[in-house]
Amino acid sequence: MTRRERAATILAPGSLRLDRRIAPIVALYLVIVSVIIGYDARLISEQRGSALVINVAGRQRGLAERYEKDVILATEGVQTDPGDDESQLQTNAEALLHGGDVIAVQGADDEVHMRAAGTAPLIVGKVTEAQRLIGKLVETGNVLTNLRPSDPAYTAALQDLRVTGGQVTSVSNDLVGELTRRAEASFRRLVYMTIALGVIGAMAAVAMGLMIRRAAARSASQFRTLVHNVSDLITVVDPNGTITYQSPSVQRLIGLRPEDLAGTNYLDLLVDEDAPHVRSLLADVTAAPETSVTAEYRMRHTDGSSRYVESIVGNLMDDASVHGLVLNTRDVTDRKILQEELAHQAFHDSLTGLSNRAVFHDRIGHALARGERTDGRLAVFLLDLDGFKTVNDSLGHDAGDQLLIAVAKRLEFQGRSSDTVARIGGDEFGILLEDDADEARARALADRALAAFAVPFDVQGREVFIRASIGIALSVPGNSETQELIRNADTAMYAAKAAGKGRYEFFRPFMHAQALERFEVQADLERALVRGEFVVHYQPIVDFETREVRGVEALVRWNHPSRGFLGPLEFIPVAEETGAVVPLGAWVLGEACRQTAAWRAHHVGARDLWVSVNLSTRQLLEGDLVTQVRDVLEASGLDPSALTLELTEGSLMQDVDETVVTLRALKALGVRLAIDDFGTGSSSLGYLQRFPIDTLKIDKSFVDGIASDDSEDPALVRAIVQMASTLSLETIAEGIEGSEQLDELRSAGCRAGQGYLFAKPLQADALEAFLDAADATGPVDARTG
Amino acid sequence: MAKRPHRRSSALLIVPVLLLLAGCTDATPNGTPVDVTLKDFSMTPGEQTVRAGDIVFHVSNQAPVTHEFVVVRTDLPADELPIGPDGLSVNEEWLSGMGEIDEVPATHTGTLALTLPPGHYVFFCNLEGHYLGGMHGVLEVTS
Repeated sequence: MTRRERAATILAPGSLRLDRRIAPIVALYLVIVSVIIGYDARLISEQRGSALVINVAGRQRGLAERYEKDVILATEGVQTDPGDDESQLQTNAEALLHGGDVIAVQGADDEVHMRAAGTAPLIVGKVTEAQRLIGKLVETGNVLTNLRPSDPAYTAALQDLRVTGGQVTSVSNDLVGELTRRAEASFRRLVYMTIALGVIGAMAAVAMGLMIRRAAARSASQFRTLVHNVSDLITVVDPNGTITYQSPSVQRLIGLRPEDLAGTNYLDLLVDEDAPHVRSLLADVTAAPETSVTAEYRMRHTDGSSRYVESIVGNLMDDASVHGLVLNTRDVTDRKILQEELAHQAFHDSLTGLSNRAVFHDRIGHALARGERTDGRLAVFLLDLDGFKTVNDSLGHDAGDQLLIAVAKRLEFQGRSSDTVARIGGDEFGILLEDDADEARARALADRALAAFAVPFDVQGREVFIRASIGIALSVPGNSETQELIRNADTAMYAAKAAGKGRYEFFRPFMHAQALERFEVQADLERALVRGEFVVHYQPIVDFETREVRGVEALVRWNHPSRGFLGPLEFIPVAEETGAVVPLGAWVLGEACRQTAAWRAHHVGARDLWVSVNLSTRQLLEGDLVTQVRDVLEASGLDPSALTLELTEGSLMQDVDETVVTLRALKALGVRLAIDDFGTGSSSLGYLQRFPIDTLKIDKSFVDGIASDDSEDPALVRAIVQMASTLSLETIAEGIEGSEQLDELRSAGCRAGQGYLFAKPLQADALEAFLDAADATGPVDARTG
Repeated sequence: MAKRPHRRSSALLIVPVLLLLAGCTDATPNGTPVDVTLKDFSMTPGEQTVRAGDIVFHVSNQAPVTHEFVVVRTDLPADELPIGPDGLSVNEEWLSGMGEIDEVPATHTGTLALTLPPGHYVFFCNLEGHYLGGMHGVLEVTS
């Protein structure tokens, strides 16, 4: 059964079921009536025949008497014809017995067909007896005709004739009497049957009427029960929408009682915007009775909410019992809400509620198409949080999620309503600037976005500082594609990261090459450690006074199979980003300790040599640095005091509390700690006091500045060294290239340093040779190496 | 629900049963039976004898036509009863009628109860030509 047929059955249950129930009633009535009419008709036709039979039977008596008289007159010589009477008597007798043609009226010539007097044994007996007597009468008559009154036999024959004639008369009378009685009985039956027919007919008619009414009522009550109990709404309206019937479930749906609705307009129950649609629908269905349509629209609930409903509208204007348009309506609100939720989920990021990647791409596509028509440009921003993984790993994923939500809110706040802010995935966000974007507007938005990160985020009660790198790609009207724009923004974003993070970069074509390189590095890095492509170089750190090599700084180099030796700047940022820096750093630490322990054991001049190893932020913040260092020291047998771990200001400031704990644990192992590149970051004196630091390494940029006259750097270096001295910290200068720098550093109070002036970073065997040479020639000459 | 119609139809059945019972109560009178058989045109046996008293005639009409049964007390022989002016039936006015059955329809048996003193009785059918055709008989009632 189709939806429409089902609807039709529900809507018009009366017609079909009523017919099925009434059919036997009507059939029974017709049987009764036709039996009565048939019987009646037979009785009437019997009546008609019996009149003729009675007439003929009665006529026999007169004929017999006339025959008798004619025979007697004939014997007396009078001219008569008893033969005519005789033949009539015998014809009639035969006809009464078996049926046949008789003269219609005595004396006339017309003949009519007469049926037999009857088939009942009694009638047949009487008619047969009458026939026998008539035969006897004729026989007697014939005997007498041949006699004359004078004949001696005459009297006896005459007596016979008279007696037989009397018998014919009496038998005929008896027959007529019996026939008459039967005719009367039959007539009475006819009357009774006719009355009965009328009565039965009337009763059957009344019964049929009652049964039809009951069947209809039952059917109607079934319909009502059905309609009352279903949760679906059944509404009958006229073509204008005026309600003529409303099922009770309306109260559940929209809070109004059905009795309040009769006569009101259905369209008034709808949400205003949806009413015209339904109005035109009713007009359509009214115009095309054979169709049924389905519509989805909203109805207003008395509580102020609106409900989504679906109606099947059918035209039953021609159905006498309905005479209207029928709406079979169902509440689909739950389904609708689910649909909307699913749609929202499909288009939105479930964590932040921002548009998702698909929507972002879609919007860009549309904006590009629009831009093509209007010659407008658009700007695509890709924003990646710097160090998000660190937050996630150190504070947990819940904290990471909270941070993402907070970032999303701030970003949304920066854009205009026409701009699309989306979460592309992970800690990456996208912003689409539409409507005549140019570099100035994009710059303004990027500044606002970066400024939004200046204020720390509150995550689980902690203040979390995080920055973002933004890549921006501007479209070229008529010559940009979505994927290309996103790729460009992505490239620019990596350029921003490479350029120091916490900044934005516009995409420039040359960035592609950089990005490619970076991509290669990333791919190769993963294999390089396994293949043993890394080597550690060591740069001597020399005591300014004694010119002796006091220690070495371990510096990793990548012996790239196709590109040769690569410096840390070419792969460490990428390794930091991907996390490859952790195993790499561990390897460097182990290698440096092993090598240093070996030197200390085997070289006389290196007995007190110490090694300084750089730690990345990730190494500091992730997991088991302390355990790792202890294991390495044990494995290598290196005296802990011969190991200095160098940390940048930036990595110390990531999570100060946590870092202090870690540093103290490291100190407890006996290793020394140094702040690398001191002066470039934003560490304050307060923090310096909190960290258990032994050494400050003065950044090369300050040392470089010492040579130039107009620089304030000499004063700065002096201040740093003084401050370090105040805090009982040793200072080591980096990047010393000239003797003036050495002189200045010495006069500032700095005791040791490293740089090309003494030696560049050397491979292990080269350093060995360097040490051996030093042993042989004495303290390092400034120009050696 | 399904049993109610039965009660109604049983009530309808009672009527013919009562009618049948009424027919049975038509009690046969007591007396000496005299059986007479009627035919076209005879009555048998033609002569019989009974003792005086209550007599019940059982008149069985085996003829196809209706007959009557008249009993008269007379000294005349059965075939010499006086004939009426029509020449076809007995003149009953001249006889002392004891009783009669007007009609004994074909195949029916009529009864006639009479208290008869000793004497000579003649019974006959007095329809036209029937007596003369031979429908008569004698009943001798002795003391």
